[in-house]
Amino acid sequence: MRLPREGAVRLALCALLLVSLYLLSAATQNTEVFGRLHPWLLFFNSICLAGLLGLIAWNLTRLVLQRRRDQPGSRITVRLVTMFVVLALVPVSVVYYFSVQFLHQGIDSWFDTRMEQRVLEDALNLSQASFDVRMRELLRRTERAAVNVHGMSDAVAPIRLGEMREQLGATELTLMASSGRIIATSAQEPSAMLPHRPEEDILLQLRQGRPYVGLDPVGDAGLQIRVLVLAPGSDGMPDQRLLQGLFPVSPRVNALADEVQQAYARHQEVGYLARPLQETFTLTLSLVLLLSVLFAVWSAFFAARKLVEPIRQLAEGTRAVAAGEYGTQLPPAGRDELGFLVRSFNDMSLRVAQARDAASSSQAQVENQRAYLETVLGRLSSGVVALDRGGRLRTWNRAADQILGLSLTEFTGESLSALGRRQTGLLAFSELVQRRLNENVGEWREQVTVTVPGGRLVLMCSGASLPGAIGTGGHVIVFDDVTTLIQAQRDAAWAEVARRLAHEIKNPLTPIQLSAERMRHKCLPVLEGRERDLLDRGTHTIIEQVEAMKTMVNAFSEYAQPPHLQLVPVDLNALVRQVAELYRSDDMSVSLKLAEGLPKLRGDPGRLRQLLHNLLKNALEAAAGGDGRLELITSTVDDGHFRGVQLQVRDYGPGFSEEVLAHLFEPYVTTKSRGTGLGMAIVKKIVEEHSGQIGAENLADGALVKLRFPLPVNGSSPSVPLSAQGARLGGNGT
Amino acid sequence: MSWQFPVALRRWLFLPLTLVLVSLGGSAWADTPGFSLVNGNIRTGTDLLYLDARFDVELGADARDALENGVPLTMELQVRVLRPRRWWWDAEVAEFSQRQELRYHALSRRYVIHNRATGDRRTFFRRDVALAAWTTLDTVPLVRRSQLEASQTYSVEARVRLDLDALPHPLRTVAYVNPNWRLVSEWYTWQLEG
Repeated sequence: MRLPREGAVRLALCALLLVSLYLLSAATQNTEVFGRLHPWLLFFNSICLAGLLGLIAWNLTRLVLQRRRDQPGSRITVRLVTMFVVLALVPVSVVYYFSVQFLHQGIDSWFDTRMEQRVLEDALNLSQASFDVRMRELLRRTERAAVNVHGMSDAVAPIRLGEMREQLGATELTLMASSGRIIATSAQEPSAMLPHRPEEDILLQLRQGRPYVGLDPVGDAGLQIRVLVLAPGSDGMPDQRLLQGLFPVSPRVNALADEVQQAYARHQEVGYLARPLQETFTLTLSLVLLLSVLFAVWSAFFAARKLVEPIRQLAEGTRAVAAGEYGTQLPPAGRDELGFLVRSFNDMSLRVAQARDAASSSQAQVENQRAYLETVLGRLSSGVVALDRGGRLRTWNRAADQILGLSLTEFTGESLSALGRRQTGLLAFSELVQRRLNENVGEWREQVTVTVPGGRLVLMCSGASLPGAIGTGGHVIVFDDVTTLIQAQRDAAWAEVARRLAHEIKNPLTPIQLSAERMRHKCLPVLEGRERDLLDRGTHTIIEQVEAMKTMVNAFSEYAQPPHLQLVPVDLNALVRQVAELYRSDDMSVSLKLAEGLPKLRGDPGRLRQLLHNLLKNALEAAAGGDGRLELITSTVDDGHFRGVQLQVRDYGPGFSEEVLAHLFEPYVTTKSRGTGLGMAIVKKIVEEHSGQIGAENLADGALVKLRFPLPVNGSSPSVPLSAQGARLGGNGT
Repeated sequence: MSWQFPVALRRWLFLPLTLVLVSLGGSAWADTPGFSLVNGNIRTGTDLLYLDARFDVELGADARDALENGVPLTMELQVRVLRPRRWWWDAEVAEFSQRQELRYHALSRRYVIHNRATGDRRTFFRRDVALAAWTTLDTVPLVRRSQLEASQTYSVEARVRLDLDALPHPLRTVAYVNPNWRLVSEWYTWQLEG
């Protein structure tokens, strides 16, 4: 709305200016009405000029500022304004130059009337010469007549003057004192009451003794000749009286003289006015030109701005779109090509915005799905790893990190071979996956054993190819930690063995033992010699072995029995001190490193005591193979994953063999020739009853068994019996 | 109404008419085109007040050229009689102007002064005398005495200027633009004290 209003104002101004210029032009043409207005029109137009100059200066300043700020559209505005100004200035300047030239030369040639001038001057001179002759004659006659005034008294003067006037043919004859005071006068027309009094300079001339004769223009009456002479006094000396005669000029001569005078004066005036006329025309023309040019320049700013406005808006809009402000809408810019451009821009911007909205909407959907999937995968207990077509790691879930005991983030984009190389414990896993990928069998399932910081794990892996193109396809591998499951199955099997042993073997043992004792009791006294010895050894062996078998079966029975724990707060340090005290001897040194302020754990003191006995017995036997040193270390553990009490049993013996280490906590694993082979199995069982963890590992100079017991959380007790939850800790022992 | 103020009139006659020249812009320079007052006074007639004033004029080259080339010059006398008021604009008792034309008559080689008001024509052979006569104003009737109140102070303001509007059209614009043509005296003030 701003531009049309501004345009209307400009049009009105233009019209006003045109009217003013027209009036100026009319005034210059010397018409009466406008002629009076001419200076005022000049003044008004000069004000307009100043106003236009101010407007242009303001526009120019604004443009310069815009250019300095590098506002959009300022460059093209400068170019357009320059172009418009040049386009306006050049032709107008050319026209102006030739107009001024024409005006000056034209007027000069029009007023080049030297011949006319000479003729007129000649006419004037001739007229003046003609009058001069007549005036000299009249002077002579008047001087002669003045002699008659000699001795004339003032009283008779009027009568004599009348006679003299008639003789001379004068219209008026006056006798006056040298001061100009009139003494007597005689006039042809009685109506002329007052005689013409001479001016001071004439009187002065006469007082100096010089007569005066001159031509007097008497207004509409034409010309008359005035003669003033000194009248001689009565004694021959001048009596200070003056005689003035006014003589008529014949009407014909008067008319001719008037014409000559009029023509000469007119010519003189016009000749003189040529220069001011030129100046006036030039001034008017310059003003008109200046006003036109300045109006054109001012309009150039307006036109340029109006033309550039849509371009500027387009530039700003493009900049906004480039900056990500999609949907930017520009105001409409008419029906021309620029308007079409603006409409196209608006359409484009709108469509881009719609496309952006659609894209962000679908992206949000994808994100939602992805988040959903991630949540599902994150809550899975199975580890899930996705590989791309090249076998490189792409995504995985949290369970994968937990099962593998590392952060897979550092292996992103790397193949699983690299994982196997850097984590040797996972080599079997990576080789399996690589092999399966190479086979390209689609779906597969296989079990593999790996070693992680948490211990040895049995993983059930299954894999499948993912559908998709080159960029999206790949493989997914799902693996579960089945270690505890297998362990549980194994434990269940052993429990069954123990139960069967107790049931199937223990029952026949008593009759065997009784029979052997009875045989010994009955037969030994009656036998002698070699038979007696044979029977003695045989029955003794039978009784002894049956006893041993009973002990073994009892142990199994005990192992297989579900625990009946009496959980109370237990000071592990005190317990360790009590049990360790029993095993001190000269051969063995049992050193204790017990942590101060060890929190009490909830446990069954009897079972824990049994655990310590079994452990120490086992350790002492192992330590006997070394330098006989044994260390018991207690400490508090709180590493984020686990919070509880740790007991470490360190010996400096030969350590566990690899074979033993793999099945250390299973029944019937022993390095000793004697014993049930249940010692460490029972230890593990008691640990698990207390929800603890156990692990064993070989060190450079001995072996280390680590036990951990959790501290009760908010007073809750460990769950009994312990199921398949993790009972592994440290090294290789499971 | 003049009979109402006989005492005042007598006082008018006997009290000296003081002439106060208020020169606002300083005295005119001799070579600067313009008019300047040489002397002037207010004369009391029987029932009129008259102004007698003689101005000095420096025509300047442009106006002199124009005169010599037959362009008539018109001098305008502007007069206002004011009654000063303390809290308001002065009251205007009388205001008039009078014109006197001066032109060169080539045939008679004389300068002719034409008083527009009286129709009187006077001719002069010498230009300086003609100019002096042109700018001498004798017995210019100002105001009727009956128009003036007793015990009241009046101020008479007068100035003369070259009437540019009386110039021929082609010259008028130039004269308006060119400062050499701006022939104008200051406003001279006479105070009439009752």
